[in-house]
Amino acid sequence: MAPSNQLSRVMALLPWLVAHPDATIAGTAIHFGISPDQVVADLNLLTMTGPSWEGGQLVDIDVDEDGCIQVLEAHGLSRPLAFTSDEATALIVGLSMLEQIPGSHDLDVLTGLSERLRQAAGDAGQAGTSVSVLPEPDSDGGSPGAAIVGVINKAIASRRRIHLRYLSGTRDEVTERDVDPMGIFNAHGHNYLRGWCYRVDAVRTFRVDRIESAEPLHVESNPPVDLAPLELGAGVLRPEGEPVTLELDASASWVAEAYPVTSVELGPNGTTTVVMKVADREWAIRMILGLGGAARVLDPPALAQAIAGRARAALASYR
Amino acid sequence: MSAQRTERLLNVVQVLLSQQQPLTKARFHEVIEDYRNSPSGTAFERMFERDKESLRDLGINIETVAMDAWHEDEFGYRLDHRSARLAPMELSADEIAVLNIAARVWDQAALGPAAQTALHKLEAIAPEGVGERDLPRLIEPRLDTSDDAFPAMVRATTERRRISFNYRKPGQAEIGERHIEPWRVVLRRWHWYVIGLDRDRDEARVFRLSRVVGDVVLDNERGSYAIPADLDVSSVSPDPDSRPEQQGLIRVRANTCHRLRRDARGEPINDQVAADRVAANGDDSDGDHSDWELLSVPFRGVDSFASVIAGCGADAIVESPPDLRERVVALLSSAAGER
Repeated sequence: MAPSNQLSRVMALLPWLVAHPDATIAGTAIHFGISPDQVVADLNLLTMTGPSWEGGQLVDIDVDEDGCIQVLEAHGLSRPLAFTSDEATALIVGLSMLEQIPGSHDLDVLTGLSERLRQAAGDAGQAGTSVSVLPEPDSDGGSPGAAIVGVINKAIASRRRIHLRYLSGTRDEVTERDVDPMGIFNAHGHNYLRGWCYRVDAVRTFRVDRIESAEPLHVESNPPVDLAPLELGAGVLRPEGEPVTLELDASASWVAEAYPVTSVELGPNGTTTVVMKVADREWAIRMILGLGGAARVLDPPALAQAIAGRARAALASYR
Repeated sequence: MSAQRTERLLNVVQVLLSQQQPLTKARFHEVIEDYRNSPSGTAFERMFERDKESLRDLGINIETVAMDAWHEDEFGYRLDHRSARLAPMELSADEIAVLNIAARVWDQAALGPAAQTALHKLEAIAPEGVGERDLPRLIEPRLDTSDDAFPAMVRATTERRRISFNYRKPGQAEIGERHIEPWRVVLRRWHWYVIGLDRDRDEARVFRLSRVVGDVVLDNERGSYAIPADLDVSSVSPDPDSRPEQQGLIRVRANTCHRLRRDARGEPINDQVAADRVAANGDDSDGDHSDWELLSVPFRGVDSFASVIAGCGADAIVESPPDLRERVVALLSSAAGER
């Protein structure tokens, strides 16, 4: 269904190499996000093939022993092909996402770029109008979030480690952590800090609205180069978690849409039976308790008992 | 796509791009090895048609034209050389850097590879922009397009192709087949929707992509309908919460209910009443019965706030308003199995 990624890449690679005469195999691999072997395979595809044509190949490329790539002959292929509709859509929608992040970009630059991309894309630029991103109220609104973003950005710019008081997303606890900040991202309407966390000695993602305080430390920050993709939303629901089977009333059916579930079965009277893999039982207890009786744990029984027990203990305070 | 096919398509593009004049089908048969080696004339024709279709998906539109004025029945194939290549564009280093961030919006999302290819094309026509990528620190947005239907919906909408798909409304058992002319794919409140004409109902309808079951089937015909010029996408989902803000008075055990504390107004008040009540109920498991505090927490909508408080179990007790208190007690009774 999706057009071959290799073909699109290879056809973009040749003009890129023409424009970058000092390119190397290693540098090109990093820039295109592929392995050096794949770069060599792409170059072979460009040169080894070719129609049975008078005068032979259309493309000739030389790679020296240092891995420097020289395009000797590119004929009609030295200028990139026009944008496909997907390519135009990707950049135009990407720019409109940037427009929604308040204060961080020069709006005139963004609007001007969008307009020029549309013109350059011609018919494919129409594609920019097939996807719309509607403006959202800032869910992390209010000044505390903005102040913390300010502290983090300043720390990144001056390469300083920061100390966080962080409210756990899964448990009712506040933790203290030293973090080397790498960047701030916005997804699902929340700002996230990504950084190296010395509490767990690993890269972690923190929701900015759960950061209670952030202070720069007098220590230079030294975050690793982040190659892993930013994973959001999965949180406590992970493939290796404990399977929990829930029966949901229609009023709680949103749970099956809000969290990743591994199976969905429809039952009588609008009920749904779902299985989710839960890595943190405390999170599950609090989430299901909050749903009242609209979510019933079918399995494991110990979880059902824990929830009922906690509900009875809470009720005692109201009597 | 097989390596052999990738190679063949690349050859076809090379031939088309290197020629100003249209080429006959016979000429393609002659110069492309796979075509020459195809077992029959029909097999070659089929292969050629399929290749043209695949190239169209890559944005390469092959035109069919008469070879010359005297031979109107002899056709040739060529690219429109003006629209086939990216128009020149001047981009500064800063602009390329902004476009990099715009492309990374699709990191891990459906159009990620397309965004990267688009960027590489721009870098080829504006090479001076590369290498200077340090912008002042910015918040980078990320899109989530984990809905399986997303790529097909965007494509159908762009190419104005009718679609059909199975759709399930939440909490409803039946899955219904829908026939739609898609007008626009819309992100609202961090969910993807498609708005379009429901052909069975002859009305505009909105569908949430996460509720599409299975594959989206695209009609072969492109540009088969018009998208209304006055399309208003703001109707896609209800407006954000406009319910009035209320204050809840909540008694919380010391060192618990951190989320409520974060949202609370003012400082917590030491609360002897709650401590005594809990002690009297004999449910003082922690033994620290002086450590309760009173919080004033703003909220909108009793149901969702009651859910948060019920989730805190015996660590939070609602003092007021009464409807919030009743709702929490109802949730807890039901969770305790007292129906």
